[in-house]
Amino acid sequence: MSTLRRWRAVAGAVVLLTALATLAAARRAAGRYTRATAERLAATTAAYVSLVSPALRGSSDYSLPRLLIQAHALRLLAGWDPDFEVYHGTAPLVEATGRSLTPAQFEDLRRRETVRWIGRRALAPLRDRDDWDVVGAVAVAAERGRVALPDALAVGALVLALLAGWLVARSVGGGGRAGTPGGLGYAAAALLLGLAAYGEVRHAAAAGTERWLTQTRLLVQEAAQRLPAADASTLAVGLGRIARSAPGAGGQLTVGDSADAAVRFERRGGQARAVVVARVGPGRWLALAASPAQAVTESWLALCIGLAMLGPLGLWALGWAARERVRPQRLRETLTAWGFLAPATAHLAVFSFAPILFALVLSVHHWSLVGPEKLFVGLDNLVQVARDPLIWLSLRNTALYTLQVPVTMALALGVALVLHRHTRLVWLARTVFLLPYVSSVVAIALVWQWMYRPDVGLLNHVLSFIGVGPVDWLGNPRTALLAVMLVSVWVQVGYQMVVFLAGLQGIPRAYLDAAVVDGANAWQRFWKVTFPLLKPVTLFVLVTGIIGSFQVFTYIYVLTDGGPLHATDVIVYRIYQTAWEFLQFGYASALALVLFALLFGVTWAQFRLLGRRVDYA
Amino acid sequence: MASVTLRRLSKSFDRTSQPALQELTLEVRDGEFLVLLGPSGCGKTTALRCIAGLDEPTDGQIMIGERDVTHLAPAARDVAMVFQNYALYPHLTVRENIAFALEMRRVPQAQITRRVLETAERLGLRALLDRRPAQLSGGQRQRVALGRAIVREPQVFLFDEPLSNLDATLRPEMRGELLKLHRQLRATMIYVTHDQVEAMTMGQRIAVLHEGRLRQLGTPAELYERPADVFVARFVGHPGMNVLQGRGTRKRERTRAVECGSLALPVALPQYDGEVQLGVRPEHVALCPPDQGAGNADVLVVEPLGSETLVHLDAGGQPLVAKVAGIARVAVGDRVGVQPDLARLHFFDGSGARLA
Repeated sequence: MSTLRRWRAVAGAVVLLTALATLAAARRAAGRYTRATAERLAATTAAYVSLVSPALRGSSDYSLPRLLIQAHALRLLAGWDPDFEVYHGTAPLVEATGRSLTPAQFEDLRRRETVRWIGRRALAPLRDRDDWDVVGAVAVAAERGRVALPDALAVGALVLALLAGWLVARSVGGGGRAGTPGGLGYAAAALLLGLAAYGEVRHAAAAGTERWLTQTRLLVQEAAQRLPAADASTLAVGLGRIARSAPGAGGQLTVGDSADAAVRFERRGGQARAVVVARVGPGRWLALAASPAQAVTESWLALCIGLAMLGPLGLWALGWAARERVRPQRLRETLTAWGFLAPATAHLAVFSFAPILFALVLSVHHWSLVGPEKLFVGLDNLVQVARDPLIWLSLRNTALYTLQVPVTMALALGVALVLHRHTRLVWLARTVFLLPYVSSVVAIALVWQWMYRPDVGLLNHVLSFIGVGPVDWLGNPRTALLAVMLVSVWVQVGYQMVVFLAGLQGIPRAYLDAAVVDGANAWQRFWKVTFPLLKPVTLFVLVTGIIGSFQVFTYIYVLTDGGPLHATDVIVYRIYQTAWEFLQFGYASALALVLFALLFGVTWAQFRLLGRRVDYA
Repeated sequence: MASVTLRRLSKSFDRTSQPALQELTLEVRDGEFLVLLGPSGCGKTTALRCIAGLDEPTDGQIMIGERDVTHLAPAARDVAMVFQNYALYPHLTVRENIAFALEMRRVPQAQITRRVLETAERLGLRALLDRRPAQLSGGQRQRVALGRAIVREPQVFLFDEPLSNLDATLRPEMRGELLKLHRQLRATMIYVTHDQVEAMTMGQRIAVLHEGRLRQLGTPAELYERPADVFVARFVGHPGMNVLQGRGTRKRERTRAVECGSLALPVALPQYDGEVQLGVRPEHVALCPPDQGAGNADVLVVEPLGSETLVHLDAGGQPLVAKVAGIARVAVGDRVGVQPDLARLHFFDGSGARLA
């Protein structure tokens, strides 16, 4: 009984720890957004100060008195609330009696020229008027109070999860089985907790973006008043530095329309933007935009839900182990089995399932690989695929290319039938035919590229003997796809032949003997006996051949680059080009999804049409 | 219908190993049911495949009726063969399997339909015509394999161990059916088996093969009563004949005896010089109290089978089996007296050939 109590204590600890870990992770994420906001405000303030402070005559450094005035003026700016400080060199200007920077800190800032953290304060370098050297710094303290308490939803979810978890933990090792209402209830509560935690993260991200926008708006308006009056577009250019200064904010300043001071969210050109409008003079408005931080919080969602679901998962595993502990043999066997399965499972999970899931996620987003943002666009990518004439062309080319499969199969089966009879030659011939298949694909493609060359290629040389004029095999849109198909046939024949040969050797001799006695000639024996009995092998070769054919890439990439005039542009090449040359990863993923659906459908149809009678004894 | 004649038929698969068949000469009469009997590797299946035309003999001649078919294609020989694992085409239905040979020969479709139905009727396969082999039981498959042969109405039927894949309980039933079929068709049938019970119960004549040579050709009774050599003696009968190594002695002028292990048998021999092998069937060995028979032996194993009991004995170092009616009252380790039926002894010389 005491063992059971220990199991339950562990289960209780799991419930408590996973719940707290979820909230702690959310808190940490929220803290990161707060700090990022402080960093951005420090950098933006530095840009503002640099813009509004005039330089000393004959120097690029600022005039200290004017700098002092600007710093103090900033503190008095209505609505401006960050806890900040401006340093000239190492000396504080706003609170002159405050602590100055140490020379080491200042040197560090000068050398690295990026935002540094000192305690709770983000320190941004203040550069001289020529943007050449660091002459001071602006510090902004990270806000404290904003994320001190979890909101009501999170607290409620926490209480609910703890309660449900406690109920489940109490019955660990009892008669209950996995998937009971209690367990499902706990799982639901944990999911709610994960969502609530994510809600906090998202809220903090949104709050950070909003705060930077509202505060920067004040700086833009203030700076506009201190500059000589100009029209809005000149101002947008002149003050652009303020908007662009914040690291990672994606700030932009453009000419805008009148609006109130609230932050709005809008989508322009497939990009989500958070926008606030600043009034820079009578009838002159500037729109200050930033990338909303909450738009790229998917990884936090995964983390929060993952952590929260660790609780139900752990309890499920504990419950299973507690029930199985009375049968230690089976427990050990199961654990051993999982131990053996683990490497393969992990490999599959990391290198197959995870990328597949990632591709699925990408296919409903716009993502350019270089930018951090993945904008959700729903089915836009798929719609675009359907409207893209190049895609249809590549699909047509892929289908045409697939015609090489039956040709290869017929050749391979013929060779296999010949070799099957001549047992002495089999070893040598099999090796010779298989060599292309085991050789490097790129090397083969390069050799064929040489053979296809219109000027010195082997093929044209041979053809010239029979009077066929030089053909630019790979350069002519009429022949290019055919030429690539020929290479593929040449490579695949050996492999398919080996498979067919194995299939032929698997047919019991008695069937053919019986057919001989029954009076069937060689032709009849092949069509009435051998070929039907080879059906499973044929189906295998056909399915793998078509799948491989749909996925052809390397030959195209090396031989033709999809050209000429897209004559050899196949679907995988299109995916490759879309992703790695045009950097449209979302679109490419949607294309990959289309390819998957196509292959799935084709394979399913093949099994339905041809596989019906494969299952004989 | 036709007779089958093999003349000095030899077959070697490669030069190095022993030939599978050596100068086999055999005549199967028209309408006869002949069994080729022998242990595995004796060449019986090779002989059958040569007759079918699936293997070409290295030497010799094969006649079916008056035709020399030695170098004819299988299809031209008009023989049908039933294979050990039936060789039913798995992708065809029972109907298509039976019709296969007729279709290959371009028999008119109406005739095919009629003959397939007749054959199915005869074998009780009407209800199974549209099934595939995988959906049939062993006995049903066997019947389909038979039907595939019968439907062709060939001159000669060849059976290659057709019952060896069947359950032991089904075999007697199928043996009966095969014999019934033979009576109805009056066809020449050559039947290969390694099971001497099948051979004895089915064959009109049996040809015993061993190491590629014909050892004896005769009716089941001849094989049982006068085995031509030690091999046939041991192979035919269940259990096989006891063969004891003995030496003839001439004690006094009138009492001559053969001594085998602990037994001394007073029998007359044409000559007493050298080794002699003495055969006696287990059913002709009687047990008696010690010292009252031809000698004593120790009981090694007792196998009570109900109607009879097999008693395995050690007679002075020579194994001896006695088949006793009913349940024998002996125990392992007992010493018993042994009395063979002196009128039913068989004598073989040192090389195994029958003496007299």
